[in-house]
Amino acid sequence: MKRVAPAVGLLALALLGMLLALLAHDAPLAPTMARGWLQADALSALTMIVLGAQGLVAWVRDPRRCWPTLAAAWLFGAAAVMGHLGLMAGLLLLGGAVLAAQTGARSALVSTCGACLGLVVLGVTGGAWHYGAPGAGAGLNSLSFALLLAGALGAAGAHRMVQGRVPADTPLAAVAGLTTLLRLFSLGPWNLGWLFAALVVGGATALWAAWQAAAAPPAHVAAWLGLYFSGLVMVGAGLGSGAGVTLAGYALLTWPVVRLGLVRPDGPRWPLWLLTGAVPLSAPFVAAWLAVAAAVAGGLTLLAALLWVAALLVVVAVGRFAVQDDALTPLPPLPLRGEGEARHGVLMGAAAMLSVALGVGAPLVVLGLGPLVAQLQGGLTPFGAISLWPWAGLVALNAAQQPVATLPSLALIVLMGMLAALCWVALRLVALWGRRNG
Amino acid sequence: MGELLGALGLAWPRLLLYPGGLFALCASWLLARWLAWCAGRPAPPFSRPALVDIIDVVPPLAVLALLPLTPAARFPYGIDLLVALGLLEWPALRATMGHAPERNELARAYGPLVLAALAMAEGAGGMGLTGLLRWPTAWPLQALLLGGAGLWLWALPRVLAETPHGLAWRLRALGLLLVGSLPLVGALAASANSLPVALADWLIPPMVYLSLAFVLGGALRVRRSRG
Repeated sequence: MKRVAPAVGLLALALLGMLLALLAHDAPLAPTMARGWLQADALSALTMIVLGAQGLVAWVRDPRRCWPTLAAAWLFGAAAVMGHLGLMAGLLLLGGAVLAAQTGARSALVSTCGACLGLVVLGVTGGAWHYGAPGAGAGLNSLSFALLLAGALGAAGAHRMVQGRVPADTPLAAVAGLTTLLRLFSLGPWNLGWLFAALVVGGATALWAAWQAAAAPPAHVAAWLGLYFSGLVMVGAGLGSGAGVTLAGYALLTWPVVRLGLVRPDGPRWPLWLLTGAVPLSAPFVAAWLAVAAAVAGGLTLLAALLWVAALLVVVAVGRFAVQDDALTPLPPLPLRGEGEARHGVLMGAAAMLSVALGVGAPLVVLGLGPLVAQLQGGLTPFGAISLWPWAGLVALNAAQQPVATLPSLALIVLMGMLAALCWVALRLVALWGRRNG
Repeated sequence: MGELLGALGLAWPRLLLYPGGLFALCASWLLARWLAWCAGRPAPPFSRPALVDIIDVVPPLAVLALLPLTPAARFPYGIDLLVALGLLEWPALRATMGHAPERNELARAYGPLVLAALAMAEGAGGMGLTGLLRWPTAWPLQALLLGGAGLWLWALPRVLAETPHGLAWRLRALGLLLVGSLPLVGALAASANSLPVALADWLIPPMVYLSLAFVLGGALRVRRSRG
């Protein structure tokens, strides 16, 4: 029972996030009783859902030490619904301290300190501590932005990448840091320098993490892929468009699914194929498509090329486990409840199914992320949007509302189904004919 | 929903005859034989595909069926370059994983293809395959589109050399060649104003495919003679 309780708490956080997503679908919630101290919108809901999901994955990996994870997830989740910058900073700091005490990773504390400092500078400079207040955007300056970006980078583990070491696997802190960075769009538009900085840093992080993941030993792949997804979220923020925010939201949702599937990279193989990004219409493939399409819609072709190459490297990072495992160092068994290959298989199968659901249901996911884009619209540029293609899939539009990339996922599925049926019939006919002619 | 079902109902000629179906099977077979002869490899043996091969065959076949080639009827749900490359490379990626590929090897093979795809996208104003057939009016865009197509075709000998035999691989080779040919078809169609449209639709594409197949064969022969 003791082991299950944290999972129940984390599930409750994710469910609360889903409820909030429903309630804040049309407009952000700011109860008049709370006088601006509480403010919840679609970004808060997404943060809570992703924190809950990441916490549950951490629980699956190691159910014995999950109380601090639960506490940190709830603290970061509470920070996401705070309308007061000081309170938000305090809760983030507390969450970072809990994580640092649990994992011994000081980077979680230091990076959340950076983000907190950024929020405090924001409040002090602007003079308005409630970010929903009319003049709150006045506090946006380069110092606060740099601190928040550095905080997000540190929480994602990018500083260890620079040192040539494997990034610390602290996804909760990374999610908190990245969503706090996205929160800046609620205050107002970013200047071009900030967008450029986020793009460069995010693109470099995603590419370098994918490059390292493609040759990393099995135990380190999940950490490198986490950094890759963090890079994608930063790129989404740097694009500063509707397409960028959609990319950031989708990458945040895909990350825990891939992490769940990599609980045991040398386990059964077929689920890994659905997590590689090589299979069209799996979640990592759609994430890669969104990244490239958002960059092309923003007119950033070079960035699109880098993100495309990074996506190919990610295919190798996971795909090599799907094919062979002899040359790889076997992992020590993870302390899962009811140990055994069967349990690993079930977890990886669940991750694969979730990946397919996110990929095939991408139009629904993008529909769900609609309020997120709409509510941050005040800070976004018009250079790119991901739009639904009714009964067909997704389409990326540029600033002139012209389609620049198309992913007719539903049409493709039906078409490939028809082709598979035709091939099957043809092969059966050929076999029958062959048998009849001896 | 009705629109999708209607479009799929009208897609049968694409799936069965042209550009997928019979055309894809015959043209890919001829191309594979020609390329094998140029590369000095034994001709691919005729083998009956097994049921499991459907997993590898369907994605490249879907790309071929969706190519915006004239004179096939227009299909409203076109794909873009990333999806096309992802589907065409599915059999290759599945096979490549078997020997834990080097990152450099991967970057050398796909780097030029990715750059070429994005140069074409920049020239055409979007990644959609249908857009590659529209010849832009400004010369820098024309240069980008043609340069991208040239880079794509230049990268193909490396990608297509030493590939195993099999229906999925043959379809992949044909698909990669046809995607690279789209800007050339568009350029020729724009410059052949004097030809009646119906005649140009029937004449230009086969001419471009045949020329490119010859050029690709020549490139493979040169590659072989260099050792």
